Formats: sequence, C-alpha cells, structure tokens
Amino acid sequence: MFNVVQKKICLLGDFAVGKTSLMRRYVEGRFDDKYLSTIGVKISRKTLFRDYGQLNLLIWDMTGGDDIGTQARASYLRGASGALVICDLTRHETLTVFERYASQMRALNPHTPLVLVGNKVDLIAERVIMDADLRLVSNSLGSEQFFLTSAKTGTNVEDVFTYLAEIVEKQE
Amino acid sequence: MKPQKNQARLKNLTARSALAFGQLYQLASAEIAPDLTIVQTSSNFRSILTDNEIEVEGSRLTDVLDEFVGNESILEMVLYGALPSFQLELVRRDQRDGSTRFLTFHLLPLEEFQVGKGLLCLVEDSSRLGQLGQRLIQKRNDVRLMQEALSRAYAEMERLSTSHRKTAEAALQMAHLELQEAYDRTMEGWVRALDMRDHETEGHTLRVVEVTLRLARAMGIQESEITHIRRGALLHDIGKMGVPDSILHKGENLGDAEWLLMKKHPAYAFEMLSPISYLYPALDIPYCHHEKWDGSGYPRGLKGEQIPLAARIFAVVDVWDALRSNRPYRSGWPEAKVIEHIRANAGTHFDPRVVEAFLRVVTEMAQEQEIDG
Repeated sequence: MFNVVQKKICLLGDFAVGKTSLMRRYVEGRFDDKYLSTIGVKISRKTLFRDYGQLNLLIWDMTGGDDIGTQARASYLRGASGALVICDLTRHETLTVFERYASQMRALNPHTPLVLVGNKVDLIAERVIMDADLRLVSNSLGSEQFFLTSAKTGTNVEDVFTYLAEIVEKQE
Repeated sequence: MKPQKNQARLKNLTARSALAFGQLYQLASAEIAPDLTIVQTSSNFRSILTDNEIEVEGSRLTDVLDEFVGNESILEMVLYGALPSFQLELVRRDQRDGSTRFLTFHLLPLEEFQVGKGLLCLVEDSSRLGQLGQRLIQKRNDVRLMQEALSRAYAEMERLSTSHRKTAEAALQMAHLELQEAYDRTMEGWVRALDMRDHETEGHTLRVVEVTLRLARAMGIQESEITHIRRGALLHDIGKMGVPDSILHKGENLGDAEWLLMKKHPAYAFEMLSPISYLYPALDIPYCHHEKWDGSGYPRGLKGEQIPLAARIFAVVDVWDALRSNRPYRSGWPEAKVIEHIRANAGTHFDPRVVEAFLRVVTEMAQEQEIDG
C-alpha cells in the first residue's frame, strides 16, 4: 500500500545564519550569494521516496532574530516533528542564542528532536565557532550529533536533512 | 415549511453570509467540515494555491494547504472551542507569475456564526505589510551585519596590535639582555686585567662582590639596586688603572707624594666611569669606598650618611677580605682578629649599622661552612 507521510520540520536560528540558503540548497539544489532577509515564514516541500511510499518534509524557513512576536512564532512552531538549530560558524553570537530557540520549541513540542548545524564551513579563515563549542551545545540539546554544513558548496546539506528525517520517521 | 427544513436553510444562508463577508473584505475563504475536508470555497480561494490541478472541495485541508500539516490537533482545539481561533501570519508564497505574496491565515469556528460545527478559513493578503516589513528588516539586518563585521575587524586589529607589540617587546627585552650580558663580560674583562696588574689576591674581587651583595640584601636593599652594587663592587679599584706601576707595586712603603697619587684612584674611577651612562648608577662604590664614617677618608672626606650606603657596605667587606688575605709584606690575619678590628672601627671607619649587619652575615657564613664542610 502506498502511504504518504507528511512531517513538518522547522529551521531555527539567528538572522543571516543561512536558513533560507540551506533550505534552497536542499530543496532546489541551488545557492544565491546575495543575502535577503526572510520575514514571516516560507514553507517548502521535499519529497523523499521510501519503501512504504513517500515522506513529504514540509520545511518551515522562518524569520530569525526577534522579527516576529512570540504568539506568531509559537503558531509557526506548533506541530513541528523536528528542527534544525542553525548557527553561523563565523559569528560567535549566533551560537549563544540557540537556547532561546530551543526552549521555545521544547515548550510547544516537548519531545521534538533538535539537531545543531554549524553553517558556512567553507569560510575556513573566518571560522570562530569550533567543534568543541558545537559539541557542548549539541549535548545540551540532547542531540547525539552536530553537522558542519555549507549551503554554498553543498557540504553535508543532504546529510543533515536526511539525518533529521530519519529521526522524525522513527518517532512515529 | 417544516422547522427542520427552515433550520437547514438558515445554516446554508449563514454559511454563505460568512463566505460573502470574506469576499467583502477581499479575503479568500473556505468552509471546513469537522473532519477537516473543505466543503466550499470563495471564488478567489484557488488563487492562493500553487497547484492548479488540485481538487479543492472534498479534499482535506492539510492536503491542499501545507501550512496546516502538523497542526491538525490545533484545528481540532479551535473546532471544539478549546482555542478561540488560530492564526498564521505572513506566510510567504511564490506565485505562478514569479511574484511573492504574503498571506495570513485565520481559522475560526463556524459556531461563531451559529452555523453548527466546522471551521471558517479566511486568507488575508498581507503582502503590503510583508513587503514593508521585509524592507525594514533587510535594512536593519544589513546594519547589524556591518556592525558585527566592524566589531570583529576591530577586535582582530586589537589582537594583532597586541601580538605585534608583545613580539617587539620580547625582541627588545632580548636585545637588552644581550647588551647587559655584553656589558658584564666587558666589565669582568677589565676586572681580570686590573687584578693581574695589581697582583691582587686570587679571587679577591669575586669574593668581595659575593659578600657585598649578601650584606646589601641583608640590609634590605631593593633588587633593582643590586645590579648597580654588583657592578660597583666589580669595578671598585678600576681607578687604579690611572696609578703608575711603580706606585701600585710598591706595597705599603709609599712616600707622601706617592700616597697622594694612590689616593687619587677613586677620583680616576669617577672620571673613567661617569661618562658611561649604564655605569653611572654603579659609581658609588668605586668613587666612595675609601670614605670613612668619621669623615677622615678620601677623596672628598664625606662623613656619616653623606657616604652612599653601597660604599659604606663595600668598605667593610673590602677591609675584611684584605686583612684575611696574605700580602707580600704580611700574612693574612686570623678571622677572629679581623672581626675584632672591624667591630673596633664601627663608628670611626665604618657605619655601625653596617658592621652590625656584617657580623650577622659572617656568622651565618661560618655556620654554612661548618655544615658544608
């Protein structure tokens, strides 16, 4: 029997960490160097084919920082099956705000798996967030693993979404 | 007309009114049944969809609008009155013509309109608000990124400047140490040459330097001064370079004129060393070590504390070592006799306070020798 399973996953993180770029790389396979702020939310669909049928990942790429009220953000986060918490490896401050996103998500969806992503790994010379910092935060999120990605080169982008998809599927 | 039929007509009429209300405010709207299937939609509802092929009426809301996937339990809470409404603001949707619209979804219970169970989904076009917000946030984020980049660049400049400064300081310190080392080696060379010429007792200079420093420390002299005292003690008789061999090698039997010349050696030391800036602070010993506490010394006849402390200290040590050592014209004195001589001359030749400290130091040295030997 052909089943269609749909899962909502959210991309969380401070402004300009590359949430939209990661989503675009994963869903559309392309990258645009120009930074365009996201306001509100953009939902994109990625279909993964499975033995049982298909898994539709509905990826919610939402505004970063404090650009939207708490209520509005809560309505974006409700019903999420998982989330990627993304930081920019070249900006230390983007790692320090992860707790706020994680606690908002956990308050609305207590058992939602959260996976930490350090994006812009291609900018080697500018990197300021190290693996040890990420390991610490990842452990505090209850995640076994963190990922170093580059939306620009595509490094690990497929892997991190696949990893999260497999976790949310297992949760069912 | 039967009441049941009237009620059904009324429900239908009210549902149509709700949709008409939506249309009046240019809202797309859909009536949703309790099982979340779409019952009917306004004519403009389809315009919000990206997939033209999809059959809207009769489909589940979550199959038509991705926005509600995962939110089924929330919709049920609205349906059964646990939540008054549910709203999703500023959902960005790309249109088939390439443009972008911002939509806000409102889910209300149909009971609000007294039409029985179900939901009314109103879709508001909030593109103006979205585009305005987008422009504002874009500008603000650009400024924030620039501020962050500037702050990082500033921190990097600070780091580099500190690092360069530290490197330069270390190089300077190394050069300074090397220079000090070169000075000290040069001085030691002078001292060896002088000792050879003066036929000074083997090791006299090194011994007096060692004991002078020990006594200086015992009297609480700061370490910053110790370097100068060491140099002064090393060079204490450097002025004898200006005394002719015939006088220097004559021993104790000097005539008056010869003594006058011999007594000039501290003044020669001053003339030789004072132009050398790094040795200037070390002059106290070479220039003043023959002054006496009661003012009967030379070259200037200084008295009491007019005599620099370093010179008062050195004077005791120099006499102590000279009397203990064998000379061509006499044997070295026994230690007890030397100590007695020094004690007896406290207050005349020597500063009594220095003598007191010196006696403690020589006692300690004797105890150490006993332990060692």
